[in-house]
Amino acid sequence: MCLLASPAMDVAQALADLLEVGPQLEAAAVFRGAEVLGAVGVDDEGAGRIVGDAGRLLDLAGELRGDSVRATQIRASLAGGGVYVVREAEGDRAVVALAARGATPGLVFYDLKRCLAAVAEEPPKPRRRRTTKKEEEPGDAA
Amino acid sequence: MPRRLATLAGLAGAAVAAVFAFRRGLGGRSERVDVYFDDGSLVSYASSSAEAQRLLPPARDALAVIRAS
Repeated sequence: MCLLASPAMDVAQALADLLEVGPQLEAAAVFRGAEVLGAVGVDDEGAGRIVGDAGRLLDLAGELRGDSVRATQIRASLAGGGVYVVREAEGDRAVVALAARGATPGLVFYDLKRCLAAVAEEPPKPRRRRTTKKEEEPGDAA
Repeated sequence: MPRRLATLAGLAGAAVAAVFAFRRGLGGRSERVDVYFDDGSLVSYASSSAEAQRLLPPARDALAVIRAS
């Protein structure tokens, strides 16, 4: 079997790892703008909705300040659980996660940042083989 | 003597139950939104604030989606 490394597969793996290390997390999705790059713990339709909600949270939070400062992390603590959003400091990729009530915010943020960092890491580029051009011998020129 | 012990145990049990009930009731109502900005600042909005009234609906919707699935 041949497995090809692709960005989508990286996101799926990062999200699977995220739910494995954070048992208090119930679902998560990585997104860029309105585009869902990957999701776990929720179906496609649900992923689209939570990504839309997370995007609205980021936009609304940014509007509250009114200056050029961006919201990079949001935690909404609700009666039924917590909603966490983390956005790249130098990019527009973000991750949203839903956690059970009582989850430790610091740990959730740490896990989400690690997930985003894992997604952001590009696969190593294949090394180009250096070839040396053979010097032409005088006899070959004819 | 046994009667005093029973009274003390009853009082201790009631105190523990009251603490649990208080914490549970308080925890269930304390909705809030914490926003961290890229300049390092953190703003915490209590549920009664106008800002939280704008931020909480999308968060509630996201949670409802997960609870429904």
